[in-house]
Amino acid sequence: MYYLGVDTGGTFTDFVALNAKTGELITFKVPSVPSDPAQAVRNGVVRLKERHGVDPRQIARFIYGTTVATNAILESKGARTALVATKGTRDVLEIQRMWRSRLFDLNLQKPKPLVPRRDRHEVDERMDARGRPIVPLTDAEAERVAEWVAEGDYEAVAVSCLFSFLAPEHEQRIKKAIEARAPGLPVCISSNISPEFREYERTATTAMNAYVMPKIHQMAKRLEELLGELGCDSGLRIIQSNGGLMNTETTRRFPVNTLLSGPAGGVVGAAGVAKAAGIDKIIAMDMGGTSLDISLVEDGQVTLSSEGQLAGFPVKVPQVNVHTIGAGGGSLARVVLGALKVGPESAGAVPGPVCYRRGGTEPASTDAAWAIVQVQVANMVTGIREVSVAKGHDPREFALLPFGGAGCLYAGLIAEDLKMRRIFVPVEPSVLSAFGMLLTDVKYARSLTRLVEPSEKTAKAIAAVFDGLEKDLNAALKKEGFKPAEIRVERSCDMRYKGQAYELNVKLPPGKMTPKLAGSLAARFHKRHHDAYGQSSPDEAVEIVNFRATGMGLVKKAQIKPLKAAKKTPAKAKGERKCYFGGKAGWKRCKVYERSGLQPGVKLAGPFIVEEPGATIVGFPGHTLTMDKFGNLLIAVLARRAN
Amino acid sequence: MRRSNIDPVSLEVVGNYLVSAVREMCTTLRRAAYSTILRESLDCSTALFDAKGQLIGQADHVPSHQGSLSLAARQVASTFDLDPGDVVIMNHPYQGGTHHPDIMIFKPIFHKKKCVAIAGALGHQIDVGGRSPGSVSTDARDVFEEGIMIPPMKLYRRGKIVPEIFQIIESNIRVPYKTLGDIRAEVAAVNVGERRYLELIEKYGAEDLKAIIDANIDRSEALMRADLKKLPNGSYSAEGFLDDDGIGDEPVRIHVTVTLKDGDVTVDFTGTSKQIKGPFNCALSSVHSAVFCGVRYMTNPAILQNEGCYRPIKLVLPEGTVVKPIAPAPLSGRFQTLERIADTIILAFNKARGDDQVGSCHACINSFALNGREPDTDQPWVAYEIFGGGWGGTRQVDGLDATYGLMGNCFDTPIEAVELEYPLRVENYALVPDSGGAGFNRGGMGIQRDTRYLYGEGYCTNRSEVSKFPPKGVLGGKPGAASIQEIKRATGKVDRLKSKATNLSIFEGDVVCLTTPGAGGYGNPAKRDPKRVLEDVLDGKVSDKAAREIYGVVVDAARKSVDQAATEALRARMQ
Repeated sequence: MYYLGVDTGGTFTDFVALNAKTGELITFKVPSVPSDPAQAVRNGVVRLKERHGVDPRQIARFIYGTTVATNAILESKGARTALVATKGTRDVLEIQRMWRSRLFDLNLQKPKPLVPRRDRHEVDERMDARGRPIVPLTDAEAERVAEWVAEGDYEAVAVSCLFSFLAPEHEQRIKKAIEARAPGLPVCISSNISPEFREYERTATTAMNAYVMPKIHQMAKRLEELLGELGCDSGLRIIQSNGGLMNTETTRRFPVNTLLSGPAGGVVGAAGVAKAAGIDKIIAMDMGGTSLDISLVEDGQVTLSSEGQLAGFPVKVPQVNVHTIGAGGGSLARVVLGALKVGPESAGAVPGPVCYRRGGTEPASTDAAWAIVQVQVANMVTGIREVSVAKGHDPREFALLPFGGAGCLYAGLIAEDLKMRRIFVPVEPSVLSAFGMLLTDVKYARSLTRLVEPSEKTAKAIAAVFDGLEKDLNAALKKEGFKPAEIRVERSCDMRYKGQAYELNVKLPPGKMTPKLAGSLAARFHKRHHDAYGQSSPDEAVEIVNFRATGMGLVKKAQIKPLKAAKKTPAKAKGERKCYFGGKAGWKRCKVYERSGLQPGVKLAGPFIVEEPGATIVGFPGHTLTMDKFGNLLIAVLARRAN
Repeated sequence: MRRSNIDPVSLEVVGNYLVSAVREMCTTLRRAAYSTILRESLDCSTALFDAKGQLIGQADHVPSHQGSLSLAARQVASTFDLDPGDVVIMNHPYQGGTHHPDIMIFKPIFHKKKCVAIAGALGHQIDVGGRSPGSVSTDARDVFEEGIMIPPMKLYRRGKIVPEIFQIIESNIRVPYKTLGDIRAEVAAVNVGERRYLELIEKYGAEDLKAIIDANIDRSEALMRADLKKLPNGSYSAEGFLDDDGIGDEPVRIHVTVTLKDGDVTVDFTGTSKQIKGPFNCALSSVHSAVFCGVRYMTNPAILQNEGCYRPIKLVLPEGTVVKPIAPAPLSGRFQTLERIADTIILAFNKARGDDQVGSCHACINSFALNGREPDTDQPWVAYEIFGGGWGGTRQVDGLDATYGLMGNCFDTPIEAVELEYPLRVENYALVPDSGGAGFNRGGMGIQRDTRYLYGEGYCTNRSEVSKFPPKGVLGGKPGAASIQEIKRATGKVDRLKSKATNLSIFEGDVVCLTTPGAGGYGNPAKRDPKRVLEDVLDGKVSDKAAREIYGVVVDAARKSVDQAATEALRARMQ
């Protein structure tokens, strides 16, 4: 019996198959087929059978990471989508809160809304700020809207009404009316997709969900057919942005939850291998060809955020805290490179600092290359600061965990710059995202906006909201075949000082919502506020804004097992190479090792290079490497001065 | 470290670090703030300065704050005997401030007993007293009518709060718990700035860090000059008008002459109106920032924002005019004047830019303040809402629709935030068709926002602009639509408002309707690609009539296509 994790990337589709009995892993990559991602999946499954003798029937769980939704948005290739919005609000999607992302640019363009104005339709209904219908939705009005949609040749529909997070009835009735009028047309409503206040962010998230629905439906159908053809009856699960799994039915309804599908696998993988190795604080860094995804993990817990964005649009659904540096790093290097060639005056763009200093003299090529490396490192360091320092975490307390193809090359310099003391290079860093998919549970999140002042007196009201969320989660997980013993629910509240508008998430301990527990919430918030901002105001009133519950259906996961003890042999270098390490170290000869030739207990002193298929690990002068019993590499970093 | 020894990587890293530190300061401010104007609209900025008050780091916050904070920081640095742990508070417009609601907070950063830098924050407060709720009166006769004035003074001495200052402020304003909470948020922001700057010192050492920062300032200056040198030397004049001064009906003239000489630029305001009775005069720090922004739009947006960006710019401000008023002339409405100055400077630069010109921006803020009492608790409330409009078409692109102006960059307040917070209901928030000036590239569109007053009675102050002089187009582009403000009374009567009107009575059921201006188009509309006109017509952004009469494009509505033959014939006739 095998568990299979498959991660589709731009260039390769990664496969990790785990033998559930022996714990043995099979990993490989096949080229991706962007026009038909399922084709690469088929090729991989065939290869699994032909080269590794794993029959598709032996696959007990099939987990998939997808970029279909992300690409549809980045390339503006989603569905022809209609938006239905409360009377007077259809332009909220286009006004985009009147803000602009860049100053002093008269030629600036904002992202084009996913639903153009002609496809945004208003409905005469209105809830007030307490969820009371001040303009009730009539059947005739619902019918009129449904007819407009049905006649419009749309592939998907988003419905977003004001205050639907308090009172979803109108949205629900509009959805019903449309479904009755246009059977088969996918319709999603904002009270389901992102039931939180601030209409622009909620509407944009809902529109995005609708926009990618047909593509995701098509993908799910294609993959299910493929698995059927291959005789694999495992069912299909998709990893979602929050790091948990969902079945295809849920994926079809909430495709916006797949926008970080791939990176989420990486974060879960990083958290899992680090936890198994006894390292509880890591900053994971997934460096692929074009982008760098950075995330921070404490106590093996993947932290979630409810504020993300893609292509300039807000995405208000729970997602792993991943900070992505896209073309930024690369394009900066290009400007620098271009300027190095043509000189600062003719570059057109603002010349980068490297060329500015030059003033016309050609720098030695080593200097130039090293300068580019340093500027790239500086960008990565800035990115790591965004997820750590900017959120109140000191990077020095964390181990750096590089994965993906290129991460291991830069890790040493980044760690030095941030004064991080350890680098942790997991086994098979280049397929860690697919491996992560085998480490996670089915996970559904629910949330609801309700303003409540927490106290012993409001314990009942608080309990009632959580009970509703938990009931919903239990039902969903039961439907997926989980028994009560396999279901776990975690609760938290987004809280703030009354009068503030931004909340901090406060986790709750398990157990009944007693008056005592409710009474302790304010104190928990004061502490959280102090931890985050360095100050708190214990005299000020506190309120709960969002109630959150996460239901997990526990599945059997990959076990990370120690390597079998082998006879100890000293590490043997396969060669030697001259490398440039910058600064005082300059050029150094260093030994090159094959990772498969290293064994637990080995110790190497920098400079050195360790090579493995898909990754190159660089040890800088002063760094020392050891291997733990699982086969992970640990590099102790010697702090050097910044310049 | 000698200037010539500074490695380019440190320049880049330190520059980025300062920007991210300043962003973090602002995030702290926003997340800890209480009033919607700060936490939802982000009408605030943060910055870092060197010990002399020179700007060393600023992020992409509100442009009008850019030069202002800088001038005030210099004032603080030069006039105060600062100790570690001190925090300075101020808003006095004739002592380095901008206008009453902008309360500034500065904290000196000490390293080895020496002040090495200053962290600053500026937040627009929802109310600082004075004759109108929201402190946005449009007819104040002097600064004393406009609210409480705080000269630069220490809010904290050596880390200990001076509670009397809070007490004085508290007894002079309408919603103290919000304003005092917001001031605390500003203090939290400068504390974060201090922490980040000290980290940087730990990494580079105080002296090396100063050398690197100075080099970055020189670099920004050099890049600014390089861009300005690309324009032909010469003197270029332009003028623009405010509707009136809020008291009389006379338009207010802003006249600028921009002189370019080998990368130096002088902006001379000779010809500008004498100082006016109403509150649209500009304090020095405000004029400074308007001129800086206007010029900055002519250079590369990516240049690192610091003191070096100001250095090529010189100002000539005739005494006793709108741009150099004599105390106690009122000035709390100066934002409208700043927008007009920035736009007028861009119009003057147009004359040096061949066909690379820009249509007039809507260049103002349309805003209103309301007050009243909560239905359940009878507590007083004050709301202040601000809106942008269109941006001018350029040689390359259509202007932005519905965006804050040249000198602003906030977020609108979500309808749901308004209604959760106040007894108000927003009934309409929409783009205004045909408000964008027609052109080869269209000017941006304005918006309409209708807000119903739900309970009791109170006052409405309309502080808007551009109701008389629509934003101009360039090179054959048409003007954008002007602004309109009305109160639709519950009785059915419609009151058309002057663009500036203070303390109008408002009652349950009345609706405040704001229509913000569009912007000027670029180039001949009859040359615009008919397909782009069709897209606008299908989206209801341009009417059929305007497509036909101004763009010369005939749209076949049934087929959702351009009637090619009719269009060609029509355009031939229009020549």
